[in-house]
Amino acid sequence: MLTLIRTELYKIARRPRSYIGFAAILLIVGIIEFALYIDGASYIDFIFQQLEGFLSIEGNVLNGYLVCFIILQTLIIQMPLLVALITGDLISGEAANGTLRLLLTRPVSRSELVFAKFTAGSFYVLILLLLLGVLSLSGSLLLFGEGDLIILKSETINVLKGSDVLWRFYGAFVIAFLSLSVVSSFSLMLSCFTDNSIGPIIITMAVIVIFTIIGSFDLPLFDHIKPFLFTSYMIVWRNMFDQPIDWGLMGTSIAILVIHIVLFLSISLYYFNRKDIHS
Amino acid sequence: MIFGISILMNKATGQKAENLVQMIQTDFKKIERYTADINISFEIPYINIDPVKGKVYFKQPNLFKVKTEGIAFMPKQNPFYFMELLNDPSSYLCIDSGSETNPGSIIRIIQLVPKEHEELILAKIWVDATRRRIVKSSLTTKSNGTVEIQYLYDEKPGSKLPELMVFGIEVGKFKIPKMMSADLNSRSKNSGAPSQSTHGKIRLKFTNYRLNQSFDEKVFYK
Repeated sequence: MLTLIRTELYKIARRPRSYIGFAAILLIVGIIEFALYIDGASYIDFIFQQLEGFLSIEGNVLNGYLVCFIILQTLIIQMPLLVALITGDLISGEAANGTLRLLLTRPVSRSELVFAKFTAGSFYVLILLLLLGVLSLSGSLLLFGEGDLIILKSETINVLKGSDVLWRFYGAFVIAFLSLSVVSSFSLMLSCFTDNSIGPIIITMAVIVIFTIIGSFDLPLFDHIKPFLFTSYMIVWRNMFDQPIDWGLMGTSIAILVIHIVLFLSISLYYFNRKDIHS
Repeated sequence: MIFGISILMNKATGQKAENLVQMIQTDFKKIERYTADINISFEIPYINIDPVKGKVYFKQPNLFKVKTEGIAFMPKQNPFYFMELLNDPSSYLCIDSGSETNPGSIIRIIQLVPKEHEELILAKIWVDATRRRIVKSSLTTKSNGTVEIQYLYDEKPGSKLPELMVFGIEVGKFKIPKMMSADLNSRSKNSGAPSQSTHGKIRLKFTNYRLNQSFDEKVFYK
């Protein structure tokens, strides 16, 4: 099994497409950090202009933790797209290239192959998140220094002590990993259904965009739909920065994310084990 | 005893408002500058923030700066803004607006109307006439609206600087677009207009006053 996973990782590493995600993260984090370093004060003024009439803010607002948080909330919505780009054709790409049949002539079960591909995809997600974490957290702290973290919600503001922030970021990255694993298992499932390399990637992206748009509207009709959209639970990492943390909501959301991963993987296994392999 | 209290009341309420204000100003001017440690707690409807420690700097006539160890939301209004006005008795009208009785003290209500001031519209002060100190002020300025400040003192006789200042502020409702806050899962709590006003309080607790000791005045201009 380990050899199989290593082979899958090697395949991912060989594809130039795999590096688009790393390049995108490097570029976006770099641009955001540079822009905030040059003109962050205007950005902060713009955000807090509603308070200007009554309150002034003392202290270092634009610090490394806030910059990291801004980067995360910008990128974590986009990161599923970078993940789908790789995990969306892990199986269908083999079928499209005509290598799937050959691959299955080796003494490995189809289930092992699906698990190996999912594990390799998860490892890719982990490396992507580690890069994001190192660049956004360490880079921002280096450039902007430490301080208390201001979290903007649509109708409230939370201020967290600098000493109480780091562990929340670690928790947020763990939840982000789970969320992106839902995306990778979903796109892997779609990848089992087709022999077309690009289809599962496009469908995954479309589903995430549509679900996210529905999730962002305050329409009562959508309120009934939102609990059934996995994207509603993918942004629960932000709740790590609530004061106090609603552990009930966190636990439920994490459980739902895990259930989705298991469900998508089970469907993948069920379908792929019965699939007629033509190419 | 009742006779004694009534004499005290007559003496306290009998003072002319202008004289009382000038006596307070004279006492206050003896403190050229001070620094103090400060603990700030917040009770602002939509802001969740723990108490913050810091240091406060004051210099006559009205320079006031709070430096905090972390992030803090402070009222825009300088609590000593009107003290500069009192330096020149001809620059304001002093209106006696009556008195209130508190256990052990008589509180005189005095309105100060600047004749010409670029910012201050009206200062209303509640003065403990017996101890000659301000216990409450309500400052109305052109740019920051009205801010109410309560001043609580320790029991030491002659204590002229407050142990606690409580700012009462009117804050507009806070609302930013969901896409900007990326707070996609939340629901609006009500459909009220974003400008709906709510009341908040900021408490400044002072300790370790250091009177008339020099400090770097750059702190006021950073």
